[in-house]
Amino acid sequence: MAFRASVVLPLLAAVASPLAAQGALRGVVLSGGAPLPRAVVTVARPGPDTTRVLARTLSADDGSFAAGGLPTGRVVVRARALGHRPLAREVELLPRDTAVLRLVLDPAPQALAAVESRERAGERARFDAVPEVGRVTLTGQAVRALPAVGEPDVLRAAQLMAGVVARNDYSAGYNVRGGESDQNLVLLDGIPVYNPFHLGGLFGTFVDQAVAGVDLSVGGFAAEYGGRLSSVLDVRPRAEERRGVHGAAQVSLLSTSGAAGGALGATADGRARTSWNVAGRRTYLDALVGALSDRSLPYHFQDAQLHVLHRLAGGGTLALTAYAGADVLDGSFAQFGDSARAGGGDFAFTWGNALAGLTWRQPVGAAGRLVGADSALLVQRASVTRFATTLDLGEGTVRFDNRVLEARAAGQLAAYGAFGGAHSALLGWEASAMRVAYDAGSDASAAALFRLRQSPTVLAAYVDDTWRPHPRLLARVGARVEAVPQANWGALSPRASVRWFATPDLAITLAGGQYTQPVHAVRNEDVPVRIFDFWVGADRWIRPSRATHLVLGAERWAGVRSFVRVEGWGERFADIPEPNDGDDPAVRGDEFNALAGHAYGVDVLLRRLEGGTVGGWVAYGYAVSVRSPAAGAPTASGATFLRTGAFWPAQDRRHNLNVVGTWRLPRAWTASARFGFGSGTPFTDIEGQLVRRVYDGMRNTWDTGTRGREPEALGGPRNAGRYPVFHRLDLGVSRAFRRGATTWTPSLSLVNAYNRRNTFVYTFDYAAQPPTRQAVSQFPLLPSVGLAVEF
Amino acid sequence: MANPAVFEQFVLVERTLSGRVTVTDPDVASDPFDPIRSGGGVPVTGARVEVTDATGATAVAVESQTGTPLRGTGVYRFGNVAAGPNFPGGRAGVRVAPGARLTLRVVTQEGTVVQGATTVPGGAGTPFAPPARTRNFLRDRDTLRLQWDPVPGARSYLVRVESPYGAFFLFTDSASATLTGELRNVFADRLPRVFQAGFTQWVNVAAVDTNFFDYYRSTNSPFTGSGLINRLDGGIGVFGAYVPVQSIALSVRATDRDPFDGRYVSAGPQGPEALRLWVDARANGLAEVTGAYRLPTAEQYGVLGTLEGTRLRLRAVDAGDSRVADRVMEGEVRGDTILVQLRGALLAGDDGRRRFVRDTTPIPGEQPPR
Repeated sequence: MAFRASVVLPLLAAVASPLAAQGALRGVVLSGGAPLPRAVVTVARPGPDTTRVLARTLSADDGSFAAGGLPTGRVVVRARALGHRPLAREVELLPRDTAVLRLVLDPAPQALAAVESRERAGERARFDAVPEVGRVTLTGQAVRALPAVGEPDVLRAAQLMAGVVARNDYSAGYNVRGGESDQNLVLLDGIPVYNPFHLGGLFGTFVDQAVAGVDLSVGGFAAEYGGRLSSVLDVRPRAEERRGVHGAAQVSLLSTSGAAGGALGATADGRARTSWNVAGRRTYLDALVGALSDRSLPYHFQDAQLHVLHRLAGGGTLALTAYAGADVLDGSFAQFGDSARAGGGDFAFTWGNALAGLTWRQPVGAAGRLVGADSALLVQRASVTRFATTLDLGEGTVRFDNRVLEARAAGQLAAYGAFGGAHSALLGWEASAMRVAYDAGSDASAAALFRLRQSPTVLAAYVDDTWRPHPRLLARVGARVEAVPQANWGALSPRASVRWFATPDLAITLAGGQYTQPVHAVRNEDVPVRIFDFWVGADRWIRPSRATHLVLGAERWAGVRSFVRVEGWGERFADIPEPNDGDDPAVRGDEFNALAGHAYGVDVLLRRLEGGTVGGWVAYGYAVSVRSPAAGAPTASGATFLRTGAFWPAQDRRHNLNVVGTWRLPRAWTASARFGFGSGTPFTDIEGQLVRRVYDGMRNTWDTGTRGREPEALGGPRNAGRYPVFHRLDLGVSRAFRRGATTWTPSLSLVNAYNRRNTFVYTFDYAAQPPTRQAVSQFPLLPSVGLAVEF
Repeated sequence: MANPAVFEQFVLVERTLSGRVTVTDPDVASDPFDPIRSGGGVPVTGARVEVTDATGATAVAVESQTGTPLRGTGVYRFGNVAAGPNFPGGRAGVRVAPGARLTLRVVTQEGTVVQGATTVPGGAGTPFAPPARTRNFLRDRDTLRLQWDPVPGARSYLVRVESPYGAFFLFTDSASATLTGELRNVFADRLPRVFQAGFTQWVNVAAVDTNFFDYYRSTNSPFTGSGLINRLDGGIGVFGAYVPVQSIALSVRATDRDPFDGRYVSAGPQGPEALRLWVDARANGLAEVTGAYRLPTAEQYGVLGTLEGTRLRLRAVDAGDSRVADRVMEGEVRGDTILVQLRGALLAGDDGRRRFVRDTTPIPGEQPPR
């Protein structure tokens, strides 16, 4: 349909401009005979320079528009509206005259120019808005794309980031910037998890299909986080937003897992009213061995995870998160080893976490307005975490039990854009009531070797304010007050950071703070195997440990998905408890020795975020870490350290490099690779062996006691040796096949692709002549296949 | 170890293993007269070993090596004058009695000096040579409850149970202990039972000093080479004190549960011999068997063995060390009859063939089968 325009040019003095040299126009925009509201009407001089607009207005609900104060002469009036062909009319404006126009637009589909939609990455958004250091975010998708040891593991993925040291292949545990492995706060939706590992640390506890992503902070973290010295790993559960029931199942060489989720109802803005997600995982080798042979594999682990998110009227949410996992290793020694023997005692090792928490998030405009904020959010959380370990040898002949129960309540009020719009303030509190029970003894002989009962209460409150005092400057200042009344202990931990933007894409950040830790794992960090932990809380004898962080970093963004970050850091530690081998069981309070120490280093992270054809990162860390008995202060280096009682802790890996890449290839192929390099970690060289003689008072003789008893190792200076360098290449490839609504993704991983014999530990034999030292290797070449099905 | 209950006191002096000397495989039975070499150690010979008591009396211990090849190297002996006459020459004895304070000084030929000190728990009047008692112990029903008089100065009490798989021991601070019959030996491979049916097992309780307690309650980590609590200066080891307070011989039995369990008798060259057997466990297609082998002379051995199908292998072993076998039987089970060939310590003219037949006669002191 051709457009029609009628122009009526009567001179209407009544609406003439008061300025004699100016003109005016008014009119109506119509479409199909009906008024067309919100059409854009512009008035411009005729000619190629259409940008010189004299007036711009929108048509009203009745289609009318008007513009006055226009220069006289010829002008072009243009009208455009979505779904209509644009219209242009030239008209002559006369002094003290009002031109009247009737613009009729033709409805027509319009071909819009291609629009590239770029999501602003969370990292970039935080770079612009929060002056923090050492924080990385990994999406669940990124974790799943990495070459896997058996199956995707968020904790193993976190091991590959800058500042994080993985001691060996056999542990999904990690050390951050010189800290001990129990100094890492692991949260699931804000709820603490005590021992997030399976199979002696070989695998993490989180089912990858139930994980939306993880945020890792390796130092200088803000006041809202407390309770651990070194790092925070916050695992965000996945919330299914799609309607109906969706899910995924996965089979790997290690386990089978499944997840299901869906959305129910809808809010006014079209979002799911309630979303839910459940996931479970269990290893199956025990069942397989039992089915295919007359032997048994008395070990399995299992996990179950639940997350339900309900959107409340008023914009709030209520979230329920729960997790339960267990490792079970129980059986009889008759099932192992020498098949020419029938007898053997039973053993039972079980350990696992369970947690449940309810989180209420509610926008509270009224509270925000008190401080002039654009918006405010109130968060209240209540949770219970339980960690239990039992080790039983010989049906109660020897038994160790550890139970940790933490009931926690926490709240936070966040005000965004407060105090004139430049501030984002946090005010929060936490209260944890803990019950710790630790028993070692022999039920079969009614002997108690050690018994500990603790009921510490950890109270904390914090404030935190982020503001932009200058367009190029971001500052964050906070403080955390903590107390453990049972330990008669309290501390004020200030935190601060400041970021200066040299350019919008380059910033320098200085951050620092003090940190405390009131719970500890009873373990010797030098022992490379971490089967499970025993935890104890602070009391009058076990002091909370403390650390001070100082970080200076620079971060430069290139585009929206790539950045490089360089951070120099230093940390000081005090009152780090270490089990005292010489403690007297009759004396309470000598169970731990206190260590002090420091660490420093540089981390470099070059990262290209996921989402494009290529993603990945290069993470390099140089670190030096030193420990010494609390009374001593290391003042020299090298062997002198050792002679003065200071030592390199087992996590003191000087150079640590991880190169990680994922490639999205044509035809739904995805390839991934990881190369890791690490300089050797310290170990204590065994310099001899001792044959323990047992005195037989009845016969007045000496022998070696139980037959076959190995000579005992005699260590040299603590951690004076270093293992050889570590390097390993992992490769992975997968392809997605879509069949209807189901996506099938088989995958293949090659861990340690060139079969590097990385040393795990040494074994020594000084009964041989000459003595022998034999290296026990870490992972050999480990091929693994898996299949994931999503619907 | 300072033990007031015995006359002869021993100090063992040896080197830590350094790989410079070939040592004996420790997984063979140790020789009580040559405990260091036979126990996989490197003895130190020619050292000067002095023990001094609180009065200043000093005994110079004597390294008494005997035989060919030499046995007893590194084993230094001195006498307890409180328990018997002094060693010849009068220089090798001190008073080792409850409450005595003793110091040890060892100087090797290379000049290494090792020193230690101990105080023997107890005081004047503390009994230290308890009479041995015997009792039957039905492993699957009985619990052994032990009680004794506290010994002043004792850091802890050692409860030690002799077992063919090696001694089981535990420390307790109280003057009592309870041992269930199903106790497992956590110091031995595969956690065998502490109480083995058919064996006579000694249970000894002793008051020990801090040195003994710390040395045996601690152990070195294979990863760090540390953890052992050592109270010697200049060396690693223990110079401690051990005061016996109780001694019980348990005649261990079990309830018959397996069809094979029972008493079998055979004619022997000196008269009837008896085998009392129990199946300890069945798995992996075989049964582990324990029991007692009783000779007409009332001599009795504990036996360990296996029953695989009808094939029976038994070893009569030392009650404290299953590596020491006095006799070995191999044969076949045919219904209620066991035909075996006996090897080992046999009388002249004894061809070792035995034909044991199940004997259902009730045995005094034993519970009837369930």
